[in-house]
Amino acid sequence: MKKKPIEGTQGLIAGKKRQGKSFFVKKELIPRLKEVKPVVVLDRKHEYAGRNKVDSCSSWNVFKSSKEFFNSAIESGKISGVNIVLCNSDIDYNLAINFIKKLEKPISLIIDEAWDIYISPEFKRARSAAVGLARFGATFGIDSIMITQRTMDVPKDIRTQFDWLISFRQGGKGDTDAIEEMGFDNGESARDLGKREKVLFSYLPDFLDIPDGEFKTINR
Amino acid sequence: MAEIKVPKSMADQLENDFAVDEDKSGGVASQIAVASLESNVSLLAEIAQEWANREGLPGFSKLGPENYSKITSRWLEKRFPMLVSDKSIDATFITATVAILGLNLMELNEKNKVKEPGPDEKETD
Repeated sequence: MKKKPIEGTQGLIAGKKRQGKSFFVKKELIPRLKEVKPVVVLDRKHEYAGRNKVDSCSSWNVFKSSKEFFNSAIESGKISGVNIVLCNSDIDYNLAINFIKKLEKPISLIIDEAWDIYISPEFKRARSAAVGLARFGATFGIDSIMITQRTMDVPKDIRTQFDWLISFRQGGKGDTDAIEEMGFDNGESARDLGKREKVLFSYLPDFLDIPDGEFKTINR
Repeated sequence: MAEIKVPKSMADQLENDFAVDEDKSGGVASQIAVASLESNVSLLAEIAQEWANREGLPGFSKLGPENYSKITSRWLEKRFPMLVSDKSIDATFITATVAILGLNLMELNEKNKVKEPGPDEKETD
């Protein structure tokens, strides 16, 4: 049954390296998102187009740059399914994010290694575009899902924008403080999580319907 | 599978985004920033290697190792003034990058020396 697209949500998936963030996104999140809206993943380290592939990824479209993705969308007149866009520069990120923003149509945008955009001076334009999308994208049904290593890397002025957070093991007090600033009930320290353990703060949109499994759900 | 339509007019709307100036460092600047933030020394070395290849080694092979740190410092300052002046970037990164660039250049320089024919060989030719 085709589900009705709902308004966009802002999500954050945070955790140190090798905690299972991208595996979770590939195996659990993307297959559910794609049933509702086209999915675009901005992939910095070829994490989605290259290694650690999952079974369902054979049908994913892979683009070598945002320009290639853009040209393909214009030529075909549509965006569908799962689209992995390799982004290696500020220009790549900026073009892809602005393209999606200007479309003003329901899309799930996943930005991998978002911490890079947030804190690296080399990604000034991309950061500006991402912050703008986080603020206004939901109006048009655009999901903005950031994957980052630490919650403290998220700029303070957009911390309250997130509807949900999935936290894997993180760095330390700065991260738990940031979780509290986001308005989530940080009753359980992210530091105390074991490897590949996850804690879900607040709610996931109903259409995602991800079973609790090994999650520890904490409501906002 | 969900699908959205993309109007042809989007091409005109995004013309300015295409027109932005190209990353003159060819992506090296952002790679260095990422590697330094991750304290990824091997990646820094790879970047240094790539840079050395791109810049062309013959010019550097004529210089002694004592000049490498100066050359790479100047190079960093010239190419990435933001990295050098930005207080959020640890000075250790600059030092480490310079050292690694220098080490790589030294190593490559040695390899180049092996490839270059010596004076005796030239005479026999």
